[in-house]
Amino acid sequence: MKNLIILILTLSFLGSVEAQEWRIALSGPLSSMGYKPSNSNSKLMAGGELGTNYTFLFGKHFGIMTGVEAGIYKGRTQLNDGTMSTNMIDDQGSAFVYKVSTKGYEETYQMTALSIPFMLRFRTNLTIDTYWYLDAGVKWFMPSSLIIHAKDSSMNTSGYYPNWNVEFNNVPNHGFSTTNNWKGNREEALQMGLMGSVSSGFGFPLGGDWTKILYVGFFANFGVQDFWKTSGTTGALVSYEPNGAMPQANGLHNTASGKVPLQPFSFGITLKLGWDFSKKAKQKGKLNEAPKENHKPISQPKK
Amino acid sequence: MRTQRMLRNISLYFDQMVDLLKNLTRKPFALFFLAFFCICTAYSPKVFAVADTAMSGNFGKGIAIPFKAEAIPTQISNFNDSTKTYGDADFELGATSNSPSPITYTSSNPTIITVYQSTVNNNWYAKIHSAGSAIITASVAANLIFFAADSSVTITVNKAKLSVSANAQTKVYGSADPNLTIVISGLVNGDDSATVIQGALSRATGQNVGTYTITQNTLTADTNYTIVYTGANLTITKANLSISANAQTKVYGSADPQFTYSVTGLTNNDAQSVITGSISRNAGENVGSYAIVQGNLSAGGNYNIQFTGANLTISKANLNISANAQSKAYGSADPQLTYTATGLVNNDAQSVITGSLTRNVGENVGAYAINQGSIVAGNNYTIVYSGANLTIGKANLNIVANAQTKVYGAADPQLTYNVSGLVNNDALSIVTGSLNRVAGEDVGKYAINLGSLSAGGNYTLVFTSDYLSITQAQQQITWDQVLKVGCGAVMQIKLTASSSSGLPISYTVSDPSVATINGNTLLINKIAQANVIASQPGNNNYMAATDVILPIIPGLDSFVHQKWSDILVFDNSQGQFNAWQWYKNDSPISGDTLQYYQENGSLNGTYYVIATGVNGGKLSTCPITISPSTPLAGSISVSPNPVSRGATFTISNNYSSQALQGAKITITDMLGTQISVINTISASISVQAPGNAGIYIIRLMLANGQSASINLLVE
Repeated sequence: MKNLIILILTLSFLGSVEAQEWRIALSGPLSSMGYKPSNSNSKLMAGGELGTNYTFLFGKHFGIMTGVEAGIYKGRTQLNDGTMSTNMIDDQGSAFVYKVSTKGYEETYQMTALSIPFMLRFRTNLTIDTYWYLDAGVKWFMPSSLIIHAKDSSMNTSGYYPNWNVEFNNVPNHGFSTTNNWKGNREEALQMGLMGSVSSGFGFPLGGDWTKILYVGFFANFGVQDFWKTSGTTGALVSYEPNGAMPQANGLHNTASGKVPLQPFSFGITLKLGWDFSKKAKQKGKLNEAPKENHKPISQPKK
Repeated sequence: MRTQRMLRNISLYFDQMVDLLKNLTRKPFALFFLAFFCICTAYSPKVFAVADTAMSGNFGKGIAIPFKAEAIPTQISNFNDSTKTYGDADFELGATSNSPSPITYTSSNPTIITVYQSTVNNNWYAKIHSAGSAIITASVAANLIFFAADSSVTITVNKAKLSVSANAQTKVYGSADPNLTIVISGLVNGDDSATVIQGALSRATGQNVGTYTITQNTLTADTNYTIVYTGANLTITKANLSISANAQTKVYGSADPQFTYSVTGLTNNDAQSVITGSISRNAGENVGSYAIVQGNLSAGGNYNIQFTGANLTISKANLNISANAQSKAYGSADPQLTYTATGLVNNDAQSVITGSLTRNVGENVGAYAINQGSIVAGNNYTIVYSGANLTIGKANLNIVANAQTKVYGAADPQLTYNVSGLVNNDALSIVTGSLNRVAGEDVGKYAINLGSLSAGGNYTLVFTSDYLSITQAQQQITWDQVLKVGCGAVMQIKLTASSSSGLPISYTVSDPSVATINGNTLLINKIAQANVIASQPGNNNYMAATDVILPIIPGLDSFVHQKWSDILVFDNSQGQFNAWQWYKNDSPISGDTLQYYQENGSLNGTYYVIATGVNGGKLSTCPITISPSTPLAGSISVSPNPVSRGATFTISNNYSSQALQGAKITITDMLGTQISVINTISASISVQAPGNAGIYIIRLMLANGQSASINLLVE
């Protein structure tokens, strides 16, 4: 019943708006996971979004926009060379300090996400053929799992046994050895959440009227919350393999120092192609003379 | 013959007729007559004779017409005095007469002239024999018509002229006169000059060059000749006088020698004094050859000097260049190489000497010959070089010994020094050898001496000494003995501590109930922990040594524990050791020098390890024997592990209850802080975990010194 009321209100709202515009948007190229554990550096990588949305204009300057977008987010975190220690229990039931010394360790991240934007638009004509717009709002961000590719030019795992004050670092069959050019993969679940989004740029009519509009601008999406689905563990960077198997990647997220939020962001240039279905739009240069008789204020959808 | 006669007559009369015609050009008739007469006469001897007579006497006075007459006086005509010259040809006595009788002739002086009648034409001729005069008488005998008649004429025969020409003569001065000869012309009648000419020519006196007239002197001819003398001259020409200059030499700058010469050709007893003047030479003073020329040499007018030149050769003068001895110190710049020049002549300045001296190469101390180098003095001198030496003396090299110290008993420090004064880019490495010092090893000061230090032959070492101070030495007690007790039931141990000084060690035991000292022997009273202190108080040369304390370690075999089936690990929980060498079956295992030893496969053998303490001491653990089926006995475990903070966990062990008598369990954190001690030990005991997260060490220590441990993780 509640949903039905919302649908009715929405349809009523759609019927009251003055104009609608459908757009296809392409944005990119930079993105990051916004993930920076201590003793590490976070790097940008290429990313982008492709989406379509509707804009509902309430008058000459304001409107709201929604739609659906699909994006790819990438990022890289490089860990400073050093040693990470974790207390563990060996296969004989004795505790020991599991030390993972890395050199050139880095993790690259990739995820895909669908998002539904809820944006407020402000626009105004700068010239008869150009207007400036500003979109600001949030996106409901629905990420896939985070795929982590880890690698290390040189990694040593060792076990320190304080009862004997000894450190085993060269007994591969017991999980303590040095591995060069180690690689490992891991997948971490992410949760949905809100992303802040802002976009601004200029619109130009294509053809003889404003029915087709090219938008060129910049954009920025930024996570406003931690998207890790779990808080991770305080384990080792790689797994302890008492049988001598190759250590598996645990990911920085599962180390003590890696327990920091994941807040993806992307920014860059956005290109949009819009189709305005209003009759006014067919009157070239009349955008700043939008009729007011059908203008109705935006009403908040009832929850 | 007739023709000849006719022609002769015509010629004879032709001259007469010419004269007649000159007188009778206006008398054509007479001319005609004369012509007619002549023709007739020509063709008639008689007529001719008459005509001839008539004409000879009358043609100038008129024409006589021949007529025949009776007893007529004979007239001899055409017979006149005449003069002849000796040598003339016979001449016809052409007297005529009107008588047809022949005319005969006689000479009054036949030595002068003789007459004769030609047998050819019957005419009479006279022959001259000598000069003089003779009366020739023509005689005509009387005939019918004419009377005899004589007519005499004197014919004078003059002397013939005899041309005598003296031949011009020449001679060279000083030579004998040539014969004065003549050329004779005019001899007649086949006269021989030898008989005609007498006497001799002569010439004007004089022997000098000149011309002397040749005179007739006593030259005469016989009476038939009159000499017509033509003189000539005897010319005395100059005699050749060969003068050969003698080659001369001189040295550049010296005076010219007297130019001499040799003379050949003096004659006429002339002395050499006739030669005046002197020879000279071409100008020039530089070394070279100069032609000796005749100069003003003269031998008077009688000689023609034939001069043969020679050369004056000017040879180089010796110029003595004496290098001045020089000296310098090793490493310094060469002084200017100077010299003294003697022997300059001809006002030459020293500037004629160019170039510079050189010296033999070398920079080391020694004498280096100074050589002539590029010194030259032009072409006029031969340099007579006298060398000298550049003497390179040693340079001073300052060696300042550095004060040194050493601790008594230590090896002498290297006796170092500072060097100053190296030159010539010499490196410090040229200084070899070493300093030494006054002997002595006790604490004190010892002068440092130059020792064997040397800087080679180029330096004189100027040494500044200092001292080596020997200070009191520290001494260390070396004592790496492992006071293992209970391992093999050892109850007394020979203590082996030693001092670095060699001084005797004294020992004490921290707990006399555990052990006592007897000399150097540790006597164990009971198997327990205590410390043995080794001391050395020092003496004059040594400070007191730091005491070394070694624990009496019961059950040292508990230092090695088995981890997994293939690893032994040395318990270094106290951090006292830093090096290990593992042994298997009493043989060192190559390369296994870690705190743990991993067997290739399961442990199987008798193992022990020699550990090196941080103080250098070594420890040998008691051997342990392990096989796959009999792992090392004694172990401890905890459960659960990890355990939550404050939760209860169980400590289990597999030791016998007897072994656990007097045992204790300690729980310490990783910093070594003891958390708790459990003195009542059984095979399994429950213990409350510490309240803080972390790893804790659970250590079970038996009374016999053996121990086992495990780590507990409290989360």
